[in-house]
Amino acid sequence: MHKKILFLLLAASAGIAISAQSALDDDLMQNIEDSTKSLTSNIALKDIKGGSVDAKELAEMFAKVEVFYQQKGDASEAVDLSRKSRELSVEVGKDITSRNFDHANELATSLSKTCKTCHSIYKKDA
Amino acid sequence: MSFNSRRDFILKSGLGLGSAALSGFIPGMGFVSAATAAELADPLAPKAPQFPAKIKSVIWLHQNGAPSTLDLYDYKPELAKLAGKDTPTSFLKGIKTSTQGGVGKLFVSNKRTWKQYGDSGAWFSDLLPNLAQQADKIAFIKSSVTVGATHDISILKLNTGDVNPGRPSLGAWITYALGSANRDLPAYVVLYNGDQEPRAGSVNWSSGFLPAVYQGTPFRPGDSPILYLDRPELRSAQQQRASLDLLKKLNNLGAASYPHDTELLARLQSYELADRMQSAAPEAVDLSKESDATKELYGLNDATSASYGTTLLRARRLVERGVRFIQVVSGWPDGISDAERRSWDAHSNLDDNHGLMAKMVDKPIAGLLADLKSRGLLDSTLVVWASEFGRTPWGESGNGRDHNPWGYTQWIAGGGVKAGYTHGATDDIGVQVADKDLAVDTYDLHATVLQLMGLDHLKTTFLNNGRSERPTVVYGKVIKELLA
Repeated sequence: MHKKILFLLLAASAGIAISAQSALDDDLMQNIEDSTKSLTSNIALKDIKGGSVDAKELAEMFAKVEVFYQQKGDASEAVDLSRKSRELSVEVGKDITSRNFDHANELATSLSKTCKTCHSIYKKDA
Repeated sequence: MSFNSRRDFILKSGLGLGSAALSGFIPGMGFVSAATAAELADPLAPKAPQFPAKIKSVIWLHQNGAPSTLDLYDYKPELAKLAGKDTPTSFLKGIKTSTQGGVGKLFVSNKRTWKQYGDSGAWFSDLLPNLAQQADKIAFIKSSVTVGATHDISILKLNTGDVNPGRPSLGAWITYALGSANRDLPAYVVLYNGDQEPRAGSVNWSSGFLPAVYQGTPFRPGDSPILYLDRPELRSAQQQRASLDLLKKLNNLGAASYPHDTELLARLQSYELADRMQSAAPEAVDLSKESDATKELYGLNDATSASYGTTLLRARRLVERGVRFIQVVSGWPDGISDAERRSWDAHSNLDDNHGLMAKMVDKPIAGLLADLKSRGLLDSTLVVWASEFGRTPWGESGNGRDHNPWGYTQWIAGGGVKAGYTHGATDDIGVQVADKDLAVDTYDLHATVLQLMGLDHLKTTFLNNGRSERPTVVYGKVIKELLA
């Protein structure tokens, strides 16, 4: 329940208009990739402020991806993967805040792998 | 930092660089401790691994051109049953093919035979009779995956972890993290056979954003491995030493003014290394003192395998002399002029191509494993069979195979490896990895190699323009099942 409320809040705070987009925004994907690299770096540097910002932004962006695929329909794997990515981002943020950088690093790596998995299924030129 | 005036700004950011350098601040590297400063002065000084290493050296056997592991290690009886038929669409789900002429009918050579070998029961085809005898030394990775369907891009990813140039190669990372174990030789050497350097280029042994001193050094085939290394006859050793001493003095003056110039530091190191290498490098690659039995073990008495066998025997000698990473790129046998037989890239005439290439590498690699074992070196050396991708089960041009990044075989052998183990598998006809949870990407292979060298891929980092970078980019997982 708590997670569902959090998702709805993220979706609302990201200012998402539930609309019928035909394709995912390339800029959004690029921003996710950039933020993932930044997150990895900030975890290695033990930068709590930078890492927390990256984790929060990633959670918001993955919320957008999740909504997109929910609206698109017939993309249950993408919904699951984007939800997993969003949840991982939140967990990474918690680890960073509590200075558990080793675990944050592992989760961030899992997050990157989840992105790859989704790309292998849904990215047009993968 | 606040800037109250233009003068203040210039002092604090521009002219202040000199004092910043003296204070230990290096642009791109942050503030350096005294220990790091010593490292900058001698970047190749040996460094301890992060935890006890299982191995001291890696021999990375890049099979250039991408062999069909469906014709070497990955026996598919179902493929044989379906040969000549259309590829069932169920096997193509989730992948995008780009074979010229479209996905052809499934192809199996009528020359191919298969047997199981050793206690592990590993499958080998008739193309690798000698390597098959070493079956129980090998751990197979039959769920290898990568991205990209062109050689240059995928070779770059195999070696550096990225499809774009600019990242350090795995050998450069290892050299950066561990330094050199032999000051008379490069810590990272690239070997190849054939009459040209590997076509994919030096970007595959580059130091990327790491200091230039960590790049690989290619050793050419032949008696003189490095161009212009030999001292000219007209110049005495004493004269050369005096010249080098003066050059060092002058370069050190320059280095003091530009402490962040890693290319200058690399050049300083390289002149001294070159001086030492004049005797050390030719000796390392001189096979004249190797026994006839050893030469035969590596296939030096056969024209097809002689050049590759020479390369691998040199690799063994470099391991004995403490070289940490030896990147061997397969070329072609002497005397081969047609492009279709200068790599494993058999888009057509696979039997002809692989018959030649397998004969080139089979005895030498088997000999290398046996020789390392008999000399007590296999326990501290990792041998890796790697390729940029595999090949498709459907034919191309009738009797060849196209590129396949979705599922193929690589293997490792040596210290810390669970010999006889097979990780993962491809589907029944060898298109894709059967269980994607067992897929091993290039980053995972790199992470596993680093683990064996005593390095955690997550903690082997370098600060590049304010961003912490690691060998596995943002990916990578140690494949623990491969480890003993």
